[in-house]
Amino acid sequence: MFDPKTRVLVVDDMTTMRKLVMKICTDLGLTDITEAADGEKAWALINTEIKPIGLVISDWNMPHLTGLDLLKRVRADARHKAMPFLLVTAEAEAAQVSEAVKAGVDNYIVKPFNAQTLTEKLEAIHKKRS
Amino acid sequence: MARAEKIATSSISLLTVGLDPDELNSLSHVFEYCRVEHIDMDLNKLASGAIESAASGGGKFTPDLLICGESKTAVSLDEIAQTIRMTFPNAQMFCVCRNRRNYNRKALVKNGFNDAYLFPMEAGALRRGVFIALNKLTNGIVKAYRPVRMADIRVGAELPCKIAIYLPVNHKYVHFLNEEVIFTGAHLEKLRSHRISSVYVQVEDLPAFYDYATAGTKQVDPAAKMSMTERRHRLEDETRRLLGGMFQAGGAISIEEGQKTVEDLQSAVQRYILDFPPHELRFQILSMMGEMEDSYSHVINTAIYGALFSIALEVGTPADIALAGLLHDIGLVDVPEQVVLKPVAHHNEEDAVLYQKHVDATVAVMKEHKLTVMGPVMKAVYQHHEYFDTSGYPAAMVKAGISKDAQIVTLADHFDYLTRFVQGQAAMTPEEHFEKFRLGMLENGRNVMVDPELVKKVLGLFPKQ
Repeated sequence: MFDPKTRVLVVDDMTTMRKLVMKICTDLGLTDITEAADGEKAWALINTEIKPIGLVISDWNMPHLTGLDLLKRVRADARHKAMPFLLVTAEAEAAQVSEAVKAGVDNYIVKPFNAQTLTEKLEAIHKKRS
Repeated sequence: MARAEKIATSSISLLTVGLDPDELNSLSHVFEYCRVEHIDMDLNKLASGAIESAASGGGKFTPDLLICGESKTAVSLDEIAQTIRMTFPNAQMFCVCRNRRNYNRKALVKNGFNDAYLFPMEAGALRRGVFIALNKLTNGIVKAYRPVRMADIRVGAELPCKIAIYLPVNHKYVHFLNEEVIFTGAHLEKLRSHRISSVYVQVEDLPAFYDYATAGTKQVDPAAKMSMTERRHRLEDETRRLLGGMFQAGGAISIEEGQKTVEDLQSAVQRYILDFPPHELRFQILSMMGEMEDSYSHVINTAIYGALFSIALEVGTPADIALAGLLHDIGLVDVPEQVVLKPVAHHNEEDAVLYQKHVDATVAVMKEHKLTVMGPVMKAVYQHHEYFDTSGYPAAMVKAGISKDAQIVTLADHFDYLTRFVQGQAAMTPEEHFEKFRLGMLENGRNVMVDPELVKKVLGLFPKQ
């Protein structure tokens, strides 16, 4: 599982959804969590944070820059391309999942989800990475 | 309430969130089946899951069923949907939306609601949806019903399922006959003597009823595809899907989307209104009279009456009239609901002015949603309140300018208005309904809404016994 001190970035244009996901992360023992309200703000944070982001949990559908497009930017940038990335989606359409996999997502999770499901997804990412 | 029902429903928890008094009132019959908590819209509270039960002294309240209104702040219904779904993943969740600019049924379901309803237009559909949810939550102990056509119930044939009747005085369904009972003339006479024009079947029994009814229809007309009841139900479901489903929370509609909606409406008109066994024409009219108003029932009845009058009187184009019937009142979504919810006969001057705007509003909604229809259909929609004596609106047209299709839509519109069930008044026989229609159209002392000869021809379809 991810080190509790991993810097986690939660990205969602919906405030309460961000808070919900952040709370689930806190319940899982993660202690260093930051947030962004859309893909552009998330990209700015990824590039300016002093402590590197160690995990991104991003919603798919957002204004300005979608979660998928944020993922593509991250993977295209040599400084960040190895960043663990979990996409959150309201539906698991095969075409959508395939697009995310092609773009290099580590895993995806379908809303609604609970702490157990998120744990399983994060453990899968961590295992793959290590 | 039966004892089994009471035990089953005492364990069902229903949470209403941010519902207005009108919305709560429309659901009052649902509340008696559940333990209910009402809270204002508070997204942080919902996200925390910390709902307290006032009834059980502040203990935690986890809803099985949740009915949610809109937020009065900028928080979107999509965010409300996702938040509640994350917090209560197992609850049956329904959304009630008053503002069509916030309403997108498909998106709301995608974001977590089991279904979403535009209020007050879809109040009846909301109640039905909630009862179907209660039916599932109580494993069938709370019943969910749908009305079926009396004309589909055959004297001398074994019933395929239980049937019930509805008592409007206390809003209760009462068991009438068991399955496998032979329906007799005495049963029919009993229903008629009590002026009961509709009977009800539990939703889980509908497939068996459709098969039974279609078999009966085919006995008279082997080419018939489906029964009157099934055609009506499919038309109701399709009308809701198309008319309610076309709203996309103010988002832009493409020409292709608008075209598809019109094509699907035309297909529904063909399959569920025009494609009927000829012998059923009068039975359909008789079976629809005296029914309670429900979501989309007025536009559906106008469409069906209009098509049937057109066919029987050989006036106008039935397909155009039926399509105009379905579309003619869509503009009411933009009329203040306190005006829409008030019977027209009780409108004051201010109400009347606002109500009359629905014609222009209908044209505007159709334009906004790219519902491009042929000229005769648009004419019938726009002219359905233009009257024979120039007292109509919006243009106070002279009779020579009012199309035949429009006159039939006007006739059908008023026929439904004058023959529907009125809460608080005694149920009427068909003869009494026709007399009320005759008086309302020919002897009201005020407007001559359509050509009196058309009214007399409609009455002539049902000669007095």
